Amino acid sequence: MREHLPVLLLILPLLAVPVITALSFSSTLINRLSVLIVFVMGWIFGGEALIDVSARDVWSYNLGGWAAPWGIELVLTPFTVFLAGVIWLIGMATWFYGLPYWMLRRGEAVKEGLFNALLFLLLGSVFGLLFLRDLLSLYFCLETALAAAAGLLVVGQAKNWRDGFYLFFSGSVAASFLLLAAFFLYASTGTLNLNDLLSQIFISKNAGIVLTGGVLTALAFTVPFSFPAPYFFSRLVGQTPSFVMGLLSSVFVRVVVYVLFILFFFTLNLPGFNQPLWLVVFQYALIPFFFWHFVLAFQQKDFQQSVAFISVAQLGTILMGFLIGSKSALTGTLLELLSQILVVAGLFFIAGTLRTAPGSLPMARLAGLGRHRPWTGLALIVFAGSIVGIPPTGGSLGKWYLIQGALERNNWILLFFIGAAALLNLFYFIKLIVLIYEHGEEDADHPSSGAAKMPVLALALGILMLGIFHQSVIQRFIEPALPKAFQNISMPNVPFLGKQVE
Amino acid sequence: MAIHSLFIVRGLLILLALTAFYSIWTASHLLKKVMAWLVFQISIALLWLSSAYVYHGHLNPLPQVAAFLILASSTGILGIMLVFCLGVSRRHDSLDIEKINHGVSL
Repeated sequence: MREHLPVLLLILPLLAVPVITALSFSSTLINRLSVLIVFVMGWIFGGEALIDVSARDVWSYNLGGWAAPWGIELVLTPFTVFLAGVIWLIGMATWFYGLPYWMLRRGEAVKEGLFNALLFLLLGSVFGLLFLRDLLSLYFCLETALAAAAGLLVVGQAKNWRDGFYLFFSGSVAASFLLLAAFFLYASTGTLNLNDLLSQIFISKNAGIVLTGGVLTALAFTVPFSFPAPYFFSRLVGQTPSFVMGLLSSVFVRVVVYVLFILFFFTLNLPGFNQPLWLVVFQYALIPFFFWHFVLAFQQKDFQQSVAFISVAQLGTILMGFLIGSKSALTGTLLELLSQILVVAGLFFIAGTLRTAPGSLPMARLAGLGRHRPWTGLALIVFAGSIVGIPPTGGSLGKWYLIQGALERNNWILLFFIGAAALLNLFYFIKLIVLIYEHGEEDADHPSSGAAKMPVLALALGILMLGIFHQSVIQRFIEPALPKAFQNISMPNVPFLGKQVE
Repeated sequence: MAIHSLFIVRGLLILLALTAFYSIWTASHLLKKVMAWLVFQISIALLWLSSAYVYHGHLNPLPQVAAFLILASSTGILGIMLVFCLGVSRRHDSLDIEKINHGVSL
């Protein structure tokens, strides 16, 4: 049983989908209880898997006993299991946060059951994206995640059919490029297994394969990256329940970023490969493009729109780590990834506690928040502090390692961008503190419930813990997740996951 | 000679894929967009199938399985897209993009 933990982790949320859907037609209590049981089972499996994977560093599991590269391989590393735990936490927080929302809608028990089923479908799909090491399987997981995300938008708010369709349709069109990438890489190397692909690319030393495969792969993930930019999803931000927006913006978008990390640094990683100038220029141009979203965020009069822009803007920090590509930078990137998952979800959750009905949420509603709801105000400061990079938040250490990486490589352009973004964020952080602690009238209409407050506080605590115990997180989870060339172990200087290249 | 035929077949398939991709962008009706996407997927599946014939003169099973899986999953995705189209149609009384984007939501 224990040796099958990797596949159990993957199929638990997927098995829960039909069960929860069927139970949604029975009593609401049974449905909620079954959701809780699945979450508890997930924690048990995850805890056991973490113990085992920490002893092994890399846990490779062949689905159905078919050995890779012919069969489909699941690869668990301490970081992916830890990341899965953070995602499971966000999923559970989303469910818990959404309970008062569904309690107000007593006649919508089936809808609530469907929402829970889609939540598990999304979690199962993103676990697939994290663990599976097969290009075609990644495509199927991406499509399932898109379907679940679009479904959650519609179940959360019936007005979202249009935006749900656009997300699913444009995401599917973009995902087709992953099929093209898989076709191209298979035709060039004869394999679809990510580890085997690296071996074949290493043997062929063909830079063209890496370049074409990389560009096609990056195109496949463009839609999740743009979610939930208000210029694409204008009505979505105001209409959708905040817990749905928080879940999708944090979990779905950030897991896709991790998949790109795996593909760029563990699969399409040809030693000595030099990117063409046009690609380097394009990548550098993306940094200010992403950071420009911070400016757009601060120009918003609506808090939710502002959070949506911040969610997209923060991807620039991660891209920067990819561009530098050194040990420090990638350590910072993974730490930043973890903190962004918590921050983005937390900010949307706070927006939800301030909103009384679907629609706009003026920034003015934040006035006096720190006085009337001190814990929520404090949580907002922690999240904003993590975005700015104020210690001891998780985001501060991530940015510190990124700056260190840029300094090591003497990359003054990226240093300028990260410095400018930090200064800009600091300015608005100070403005935010002044706003939430100024004298404002208490909003008596909307006392935030405990069910809504607890997940916010848990996420804020998570950000602080990530910062305080960053050394342990880096040593136990992040360092083993880096390419072998950056690890302090006696292996050939070839970035490769788990196996040596002859 | 066999290689040349393969080049021609793949060239035609890529042309089909490009045409479908162009239609995805330009179509002004959601159903037309969905159909264009379907053609795009079919052309990719056929591209996969085309690589089944270059394995030491034998049929390679993996591209065939991949093509089958792509077509099967595309059918499922098509179904979901049509459900979304139905939802959009009910809410906006149209599947025309102009009307959906500028019409008042019910």
